[in-house]
Amino acid sequence: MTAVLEVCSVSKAFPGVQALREVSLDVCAREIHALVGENGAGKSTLVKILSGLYAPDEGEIRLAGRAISHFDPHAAGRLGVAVVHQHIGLFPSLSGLENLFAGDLPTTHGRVDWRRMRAEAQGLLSELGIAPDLSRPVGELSVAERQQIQIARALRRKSIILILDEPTAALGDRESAALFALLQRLRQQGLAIIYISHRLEEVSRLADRITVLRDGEKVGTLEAAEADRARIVAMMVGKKGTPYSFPANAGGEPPPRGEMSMVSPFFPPLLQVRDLSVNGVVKGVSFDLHAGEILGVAGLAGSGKEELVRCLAGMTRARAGRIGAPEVTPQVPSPATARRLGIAYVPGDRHGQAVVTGMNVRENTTLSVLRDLSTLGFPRRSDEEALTERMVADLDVRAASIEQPLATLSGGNQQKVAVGRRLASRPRALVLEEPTQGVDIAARAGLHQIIRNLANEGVGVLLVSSDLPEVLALSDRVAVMREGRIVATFTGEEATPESVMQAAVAKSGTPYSFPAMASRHDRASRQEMSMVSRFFRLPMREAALAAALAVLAVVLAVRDPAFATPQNLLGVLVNSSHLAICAAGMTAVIIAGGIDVSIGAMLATICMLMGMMLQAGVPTPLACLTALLAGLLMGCLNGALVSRLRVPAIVATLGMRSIWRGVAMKLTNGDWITDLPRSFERLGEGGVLGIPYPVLIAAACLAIAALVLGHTRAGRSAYAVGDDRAAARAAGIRPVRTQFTAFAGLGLLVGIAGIVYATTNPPIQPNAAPTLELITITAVMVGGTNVFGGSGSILGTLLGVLVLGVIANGLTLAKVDDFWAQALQGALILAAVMADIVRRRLRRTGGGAS
Amino acid sequence: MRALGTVWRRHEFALVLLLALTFVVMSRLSPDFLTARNLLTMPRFFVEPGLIALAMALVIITGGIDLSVGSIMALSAVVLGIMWGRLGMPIGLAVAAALLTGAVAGLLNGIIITRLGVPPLMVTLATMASYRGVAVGLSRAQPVSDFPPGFLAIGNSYLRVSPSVEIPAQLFIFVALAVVAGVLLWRTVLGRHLYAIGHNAVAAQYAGIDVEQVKLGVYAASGLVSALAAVIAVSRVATAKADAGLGMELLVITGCVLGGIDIFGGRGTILGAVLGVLIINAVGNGLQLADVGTEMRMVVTGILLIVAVILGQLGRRGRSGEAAE
Repeated sequence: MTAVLEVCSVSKAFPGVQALREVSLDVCAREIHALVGENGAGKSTLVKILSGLYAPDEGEIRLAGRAISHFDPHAAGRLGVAVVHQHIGLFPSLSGLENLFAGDLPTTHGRVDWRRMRAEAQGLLSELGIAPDLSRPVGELSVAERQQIQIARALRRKSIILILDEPTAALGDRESAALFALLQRLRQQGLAIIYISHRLEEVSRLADRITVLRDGEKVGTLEAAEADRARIVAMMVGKKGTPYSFPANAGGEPPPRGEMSMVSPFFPPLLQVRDLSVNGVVKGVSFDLHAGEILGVAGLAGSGKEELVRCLAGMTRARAGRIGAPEVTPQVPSPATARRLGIAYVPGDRHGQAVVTGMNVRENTTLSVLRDLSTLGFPRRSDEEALTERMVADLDVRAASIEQPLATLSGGNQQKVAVGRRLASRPRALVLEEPTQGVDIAARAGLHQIIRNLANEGVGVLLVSSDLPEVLALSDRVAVMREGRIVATFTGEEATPESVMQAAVAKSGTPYSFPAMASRHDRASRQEMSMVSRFFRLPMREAALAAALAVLAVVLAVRDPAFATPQNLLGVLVNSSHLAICAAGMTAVIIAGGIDVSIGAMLATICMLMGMMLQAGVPTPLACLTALLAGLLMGCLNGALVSRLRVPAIVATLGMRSIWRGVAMKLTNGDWITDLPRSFERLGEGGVLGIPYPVLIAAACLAIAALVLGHTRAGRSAYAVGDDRAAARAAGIRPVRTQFTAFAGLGLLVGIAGIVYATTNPPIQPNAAPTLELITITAVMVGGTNVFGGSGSILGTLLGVLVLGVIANGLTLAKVDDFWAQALQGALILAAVMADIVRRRLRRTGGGAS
Repeated sequence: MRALGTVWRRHEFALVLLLALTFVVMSRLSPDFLTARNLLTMPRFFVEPGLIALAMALVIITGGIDLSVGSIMALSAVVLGIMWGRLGMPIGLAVAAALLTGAVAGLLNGIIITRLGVPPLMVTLATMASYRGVAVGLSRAQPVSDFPPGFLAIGNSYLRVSPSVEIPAQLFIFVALAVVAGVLLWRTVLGRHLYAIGHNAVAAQYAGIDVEQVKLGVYAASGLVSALAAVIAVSRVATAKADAGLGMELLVITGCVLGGIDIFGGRGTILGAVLGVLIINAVGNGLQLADVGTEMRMVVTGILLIVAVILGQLGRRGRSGEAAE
């Protein structure tokens, strides 16, 4: 067999950590090569190097015999390396089909060729033997289906090596089996596969060879035939003794356990957790935490231990369960509950949420306890400094001074501050998540000493760490989690690396039937939900709007016969035409994640400019052309400010709004422009087959906008960028250019709207269309476009425009004062946005996908 | 000593220079600019945006924005007018009602933002329209005047220091509140929490700060202060009209951003915000004296806002060393 991929003595170091040390391995075609090891063994660093995110410090990667010189994700993709990550890479609001092809949509004559895409996708999927739902937004699909789409997407690009990182972490039994079947077919087709998993059972069943990593070094590669569980576990945890005792040069002996800890289980519990469940990841966990005890929670990635602690801290909502204490009635976990029970939580560093990097060491250290260090709300500086100095000394934080901004400290030092901060708050129960991740050995010993001292003082400590030696060295009891449950609890001598690791990876008979049942239940509830969410699907939304529009029209027609006359209805259309044109452009801008509040002022300036030219005798076509050009330029200016200079869209366009309104007034010093030439006025009066020009122009603009947004690469890019900017960039779409184009397009449409407005609303005034931006945004929101970008449609926007037009007409017919209409508009925009957000939230929690 | 050594590097120092430069340019544009009379009149117009900027600074520092301040002014002014003029309530009660209206309007913004998770931008854009609409509707577009002299004194009385130097009364209200806001942000627990939320709201929540509660309070304060500005404005012009505070949001946000309040939150000082609004106001006043029309002042304000944000962005990029996309 020839090696497709060769990793030759690759090393990689990060500040304070040697992540990989001279690791070599090779992967052949028609091979599934499993990579196993504890968390922190170096697997993910290796994957990141292979996928081009990091460059190795030393060593070489050879792909199909050629050494890789340039490390970046695009280059890796082109060379045929496909990576399926757990969390990233898909656009939740786009359909599965579009996700398959994102960044590389096939076109014929500039139009996205959906038919070809479908045919190609069908071919690809049947070749792979999978059938995920391609028509629904990916965000509504199950984890398994999303994964299938990711794999299909990776393979569409003629990959030669496929890397899967923990692919079964969130899958049920049957789904996992389907995945294994797929991987075996892919192997037969000649693909090389790197498979990373903690589940030794599936690894030994699936893989041809298994490479074990530990502490950044390769322990060895086994043929599947010679690999039994015990042997793999032994290789993962290393020889007993050596890596597990504390390095003598750093901390000496492990910190002594307090006397109290020996008897603590007989003390009343400090914290009682009962039947806690979190969205399918934590399944009915119960335990007690006693005063003076350190309870370690061990478990591999995806075991649910992180979700468990986040839930205890009140950061994730629990689906079921209570936490309490003997003197407190059990309560639903929430930040308030955590405060009441005295639970302090130190999040793991990788979330970037443990500390406020923009603040300095002192401010971070005292953030949680500032109230206790203050008099009448004024912090006492001397106490702050004393506390910080003590913390800095205790934890050996390396900072020039306590006023040094945290952003300039190393990751390890930041983590020390994060821990130190929570210690300062004197909690009853301390929940520590990965407290020493990225911390150097000496400081680690210091932290351990402090944790132990706290326990000896009577604090209950819940220690969640992927660092098994740390858990074993510190904990009085070790609870092992697997697949959302506590599967074993070890005390004292029972807690050995082997016993804990066995429990963490084991797939022994009894507990395993439970997850299968649970996952079947999950699937059922998911199916139920998908029916509900199918009810809310996009076309439904437009249908509902159309129905609302019809009801509104009928009510108005019954109340006032003047409404249903052809003249009145045509009048509604004519009056809405400039709004419809602007709304088409605004839809694109909002879908791409922007907003523009300057269009009313832009329109006024364009109208004034055009009016002055017409008065000066410039021919109508030339004046109209100038209007279009002016609009385009204004749009480009907004686009440049927002996309290139990264001025927030609202601020940039708020400024431009003031500028253009000022310019519009300055042009004639506030005078109106009357006496426009006949040739121009005819534009507003004439028509074809009784349909006025403004309506025709608006219809044409909407049709073109719908075509561009729905069926061109540029339009689809707008959806992708608005949905997930990072994923878009990863797929090769340029967010800056896409946003710029959206703003420029809106500008051009405002130019057209300016012509229509000037012809239908003579004379031309500098304060024309004072609330156009607001009405336009309202129409787009009512039409169902997502405020945050990523979804929406021109059809919805058209319906939104018509609803607003009919309401305005109804108010006029009912002789309701104009100013109430404005108040109503504001209320409408809020209602539309709130409905959208609530609907989205319902769907998200219902779909079970976090 | 160390403070003296670094003072020239601070953003506020640059602002003082900019303010001085504005004064030089404006006094060249108009001989009336640098007269004692003009300099003492300016605060009368500065106090209203200045007051709102105090609250806006807090809002922006927490990472939010409030576009509805001008409309809250209008709503409060109208409520004041109706209570006094149409319903014949005592003026004290009318003022209290106006202030309450502002606080409730701000609180409503805050509730929608924190409880429903709607972005502040959309919420306050919508309420900017709604509050103004309600104000116009309630007032039936009719102004109310004939306020009692005691009330008019708020915006029209002076403290006579010498025959030529008279300090407008509302300036004292502003200075008092500016000191309160400045100390709050600079020296209190709450101030520290505001910065923390603006830097990283999630981290702040992990640190045990009740982020929702703080944000709610900030938006309510913004509404209350806008109402106070409305009361002063009504007193100054002796009329309560629904067009009070038109364009105020732009002026105030521009002042704050110019004053070094980071539009993405987490950074800025009250002193900076005040200096920023002072500069905007001096520019406006100078241009007005130089017979430059309102429209050009709008243009200048818009340009100032955009340039200030771009400069802020460049500063940010320089600070964090992050590469442009």
